Amino acid sequence: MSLIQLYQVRKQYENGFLALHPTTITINSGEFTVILGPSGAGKSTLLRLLNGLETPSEGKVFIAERQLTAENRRQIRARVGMVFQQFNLVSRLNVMTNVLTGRLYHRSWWESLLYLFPKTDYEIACWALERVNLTNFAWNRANKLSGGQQQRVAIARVLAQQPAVILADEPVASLDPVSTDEIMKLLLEICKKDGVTVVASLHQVGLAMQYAERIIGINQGRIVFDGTACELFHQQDILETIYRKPDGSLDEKFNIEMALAK
Amino acid sequence: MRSLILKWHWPSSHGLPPFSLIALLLIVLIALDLTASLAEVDVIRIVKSTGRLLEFARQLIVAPEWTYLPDLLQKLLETLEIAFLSTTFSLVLSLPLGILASRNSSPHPIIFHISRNLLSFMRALPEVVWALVFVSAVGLGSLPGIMALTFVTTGIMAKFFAESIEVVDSKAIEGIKSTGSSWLQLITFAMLPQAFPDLIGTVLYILDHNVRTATIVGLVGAGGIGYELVSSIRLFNYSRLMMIVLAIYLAVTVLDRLSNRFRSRVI
Amino acid sequence: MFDDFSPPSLPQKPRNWVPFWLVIWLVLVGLAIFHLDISFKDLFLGFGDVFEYLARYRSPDFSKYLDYVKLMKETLAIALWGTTLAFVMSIILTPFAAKNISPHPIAYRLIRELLNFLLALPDLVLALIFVSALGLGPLPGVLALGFHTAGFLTKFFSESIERVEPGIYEAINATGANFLQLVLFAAWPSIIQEVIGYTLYIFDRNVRVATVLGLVGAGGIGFELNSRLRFFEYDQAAAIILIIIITIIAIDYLSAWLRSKIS
Repeated sequence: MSLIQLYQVRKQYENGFLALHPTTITINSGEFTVILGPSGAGKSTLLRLLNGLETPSEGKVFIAERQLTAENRRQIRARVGMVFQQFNLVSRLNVMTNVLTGRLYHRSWWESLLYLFPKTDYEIACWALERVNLTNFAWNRANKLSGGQQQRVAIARVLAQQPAVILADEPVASLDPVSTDEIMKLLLEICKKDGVTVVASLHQVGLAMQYAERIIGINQGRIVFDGTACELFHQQDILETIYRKPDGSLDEKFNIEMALAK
Repeated sequence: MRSLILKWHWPSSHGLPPFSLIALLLIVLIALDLTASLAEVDVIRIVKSTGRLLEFARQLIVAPEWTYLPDLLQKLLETLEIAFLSTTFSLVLSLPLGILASRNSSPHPIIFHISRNLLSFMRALPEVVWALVFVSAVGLGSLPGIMALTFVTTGIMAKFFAESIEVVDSKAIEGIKSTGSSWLQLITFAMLPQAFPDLIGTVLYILDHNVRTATIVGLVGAGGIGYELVSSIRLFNYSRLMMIVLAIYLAVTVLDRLSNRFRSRVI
Repeated sequence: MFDDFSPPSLPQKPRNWVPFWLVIWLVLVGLAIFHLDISFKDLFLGFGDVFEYLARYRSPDFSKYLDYVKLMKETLAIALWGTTLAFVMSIILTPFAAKNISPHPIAYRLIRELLNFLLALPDLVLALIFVSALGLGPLPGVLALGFHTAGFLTKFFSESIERVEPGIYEAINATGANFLQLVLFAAWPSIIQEVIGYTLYIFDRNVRVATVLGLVGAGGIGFELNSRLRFFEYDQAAAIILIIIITIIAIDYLSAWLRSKIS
């Protein structure tokens, strides 16, 4: 069942920069997809088009067969969670409150004004914290946690939304290697155990090969590959295409990535 | 050649002080010269009157009038209450106004501009002028004082609030947006918590400001210690004046210490 | 996802003191309102009166506007000279009032207390005192503004100096500079931007205060405004108020523009 669909979506910014050429992609329910490409390739743009943080210049975005418009944006966002590279938590608030903000769509304006959440929301938040193994930090201030821990709080926030889709925009780019593994394993577990569709953008080839079922390679706004990790592994030249810079040379990071992947 | 003419050099490429500095200095000096007569700044007169000032200062060193203490405390309490109430009412009004007057939390650009200009207008006249007007309207007492203080400090506080909200980190805003929250929820959960330390600082500053202003508005009949203060000077009752000044000084100092402690605890 | 679940035991939630303090605050507000005997009924009934009252200002009479402009110029002059006096005084006092470069702790404490004293006295009171000593006219106003805002400026400047990285002071000290040189080469240059910002802010503030100094006879437009109101000449008062508002807003724009030019 197709859950996410981009139909001829094109994105051009006001300054003229074409971030995404007309693209059509279908992602099915339950898949773990990785968008792979160098910096500036359009990975973030693609992801942000899926929850309305960016609007397409042309084309349509469908989530669960419904077109994403300004009117139903909030409603769709409630079921589509996003994990960010910089965690995007509210630093001054404690972990529990940050996780509870995942439930905001369901709360009325006066409840939010007074920071009131019903017991069921607290139970969901507890479950989410348990899931990411941060129960003991529930009342700590968010910015007092390490990077890996903060990203787990972000994931707990997303879990509290009980989403159908999780978008992860470079979720591990700011983390150390141990936390990186932790987070990627967590995302994979959530995808497989809870049946959530996960779309993550990464620039690390090794990680993509290790965790992804399906890899979509992107370079300068164009999809240059769409297949499984195995297929990519056996087609090294495609890898080079993904990392090719506009002037024809290879992105420096490519060599590092290849070395790491081996 | 220049090194022969001028023995000293300034540390710049042309050896002279920076031109903008010179220009600024010249402008200020010219302005001062033009306005000297208006302000009646006459050095000779000042020198001559230092004698009178010293004599006056000597007269001020008198024993404070302790019998006046109970009345004084009453009036001082009244002054503090005026300041406290004005700050509270102003806070209640400034939160929504500050949100409307902030570029990233205002619902519409037109509302933003109207709010900003409204706040400028509210800040324009000093409190005493409004106190005059309100006394004229509702009569003597502490009410016009509270109205005047509230009106002006709302203009100040809301502007500070708006500026605090504008410099909030946008990453947290995006994070909260992505869960499907509304405009109000965004403000409550993403913007206000981050602006909180600045808000507290502003409120404490305004409280201090209001205590000082509340001591003056009595001058025009708007309640507080101002009236006694002025009449004690006019009646040359220096012992009473000393009491009042001491009391004000103590009140302001205690408030200052308390708010510093509060500030370090909360932030 | 969430179905098979029993709530885990969370660590103890730290007690939230906010509702407690909120209640205390509200009680204090109630007490104050009661003590001051403010009748909100009067306030709301009075609002109708206030609107009727404000309507009396709707036709400002600009016939005497030249006189008012002259008085406004005098007011601005008072503000300018007062700010200059305050600036000069604070340049001298500031180095002693900054904890990290003050030459002697006793000097620091003394100057700080002096500052607090200057600050505690409202400008109007100082103006009154100077009027008693020097007679009526704008000069007492200049002196009052100068002394009072010297307190503000010194406080702001010294706080700026205290915020500068200690490395800068250490470096200059290490070259064998004396106190005066430390002040001139390390302290002042580091904070020039903030100094200009604060001075402009104080000038702005002094213009506002100068408009009321006239009430106690210290020059400026305040006295005229008060007289007009006492005689119920609302049209004239309206004209004066408008002139004051326009001037203050103009000064606001000017200082905002200047500030943007610097940074």
